[in-house]
Amino acid sequence: MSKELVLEFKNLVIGYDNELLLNNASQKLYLGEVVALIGRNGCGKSTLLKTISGEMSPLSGSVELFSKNITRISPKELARMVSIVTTVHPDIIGMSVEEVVALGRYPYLNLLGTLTSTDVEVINKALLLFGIDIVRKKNYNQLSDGQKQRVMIARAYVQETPLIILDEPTTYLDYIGREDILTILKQLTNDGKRAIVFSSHDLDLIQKNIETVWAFTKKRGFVVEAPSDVLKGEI
Amino acid sequence: MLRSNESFKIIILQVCSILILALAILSVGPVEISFNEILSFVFGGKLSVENEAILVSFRLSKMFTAIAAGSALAISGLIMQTYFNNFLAGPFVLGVHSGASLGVVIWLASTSFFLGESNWLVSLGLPLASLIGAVLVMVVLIFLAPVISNKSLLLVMGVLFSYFTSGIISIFISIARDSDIRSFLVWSLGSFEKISGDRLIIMSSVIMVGSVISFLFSSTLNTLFLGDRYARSVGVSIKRVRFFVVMLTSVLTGTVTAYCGPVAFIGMISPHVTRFVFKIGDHRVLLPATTLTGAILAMFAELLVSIDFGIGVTIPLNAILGIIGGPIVFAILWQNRKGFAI
Repeated sequence: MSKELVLEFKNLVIGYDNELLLNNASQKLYLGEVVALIGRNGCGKSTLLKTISGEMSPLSGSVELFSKNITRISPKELARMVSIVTTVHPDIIGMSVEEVVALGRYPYLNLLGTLTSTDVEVINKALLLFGIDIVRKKNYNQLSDGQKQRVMIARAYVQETPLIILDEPTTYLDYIGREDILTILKQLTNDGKRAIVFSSHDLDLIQKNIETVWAFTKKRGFVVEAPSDVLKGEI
Repeated sequence: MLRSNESFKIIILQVCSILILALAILSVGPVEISFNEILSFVFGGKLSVENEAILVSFRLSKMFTAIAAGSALAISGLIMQTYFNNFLAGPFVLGVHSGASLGVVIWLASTSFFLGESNWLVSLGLPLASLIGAVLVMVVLIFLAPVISNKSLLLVMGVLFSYFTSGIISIFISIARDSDIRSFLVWSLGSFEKISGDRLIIMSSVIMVGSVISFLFSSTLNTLFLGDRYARSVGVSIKRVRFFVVMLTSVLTGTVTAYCGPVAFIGMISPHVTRFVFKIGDHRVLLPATTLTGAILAMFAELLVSIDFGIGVTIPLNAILGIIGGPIVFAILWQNRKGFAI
């Protein structure tokens, strides 16, 4: 069975007028893959993530989701294809954990915003999967940073998109928490229904858990290879 | 999905308080009409001719005005607080009231000079002038908000704008004819009275439409809590949201201001009181509940206006709202003195 192509970018140029971050890069991502994006601060990781999630336009080149140019995908359609987890946790006052997770169901809600039994099922599954079931009734604002991170990942999960993009999802977590998240991300792609791209600085953990990295290297530019092939000190 | 039972109970309680306040408003005044008389009238009984006239042409309309105005201000306050992610926002604090007032005063001063005060064109244009004033302020705020990282600054600017407009309004008052001055002054003190017939129908239907559209908007409002990036990622069009926020808050605030004057505090306080009682952030419950709270606050204030405290004059609405609202706002500020909510 051949794997289905989720994302493809061709001849991508990103950056700003006076500084190119990525010059003429092309790459494909298939369902079932987990890719770690590594590189130094300011090298363009977030910019690349924003470009493939459709939040930013590239300077030139194209981004395609399921072989459709991202600029031709409507916002509603895009919301069912890509979900994101950003580095900054929003300040949400007066909402419980389960309500925040439920916000990820927005693309599927009707005008009145009522949750169907399918919605509730997905939400319950996410709460269990990310280990936040016990705090589901708790106020989101009272959680620790690590728990908030799990809530935001669960929120992206219930959006049920084939592509999930996470910007430094392990930042606020302790060592065990980080390993947990990487394990879960891998689990999510096991059934071959999703692909995940996440950026991270945790090179050791990536080497242990992830098979492919997209790396911004100093000398060789943007490379795609096994994490063990990227030499220490190269990025 | 969640906590709906508890919320439902509190909403029933709110509806009950509205009914009780309604009875009280209909009963209290220079001529006292007993609860029994009112209830029997509601169920088809007869009243004395004078009492029926007082009830129908005066007290019923001020009751409905209070309900409509209170609801409208509360909805508009909640939408502003959520959009600006600032729990001290509200039509009064952000200066949207002032924009509306300025529109009204400019319209009245210029048209009544040429057309005379009772001209139908003047009263028809009144809500429109108010709406334009409100829209202008909201548009400025929405474009300033992303540039201003300090949340208190937006509020300070709203307050400054209020001073600025009250300066202009004072100029208009000082050059206006004597007969206009009194009506300007009375209007600026806020009142739910003297609005009846066509004006009441226009006001309440606009508010009704605005409320229904706001309710349909509530799950989108929920996503705004996540911030622009996340909201966009779940398919919310930020441009459309901005348009709705400007239009809904301006129409609701503008309509109330045109007819009742710049009514203070209700818009800002109602969402707080509701959040405090319901402990909920989900707009699908919060919005209807806040609407009811707004109506309750407005009715309660109106009741105090109607009571003769033995001093022979009635206390203006904004004086009462100031005396009740000031301490409540202080309590909110005190509770959040470490600054996490604003």
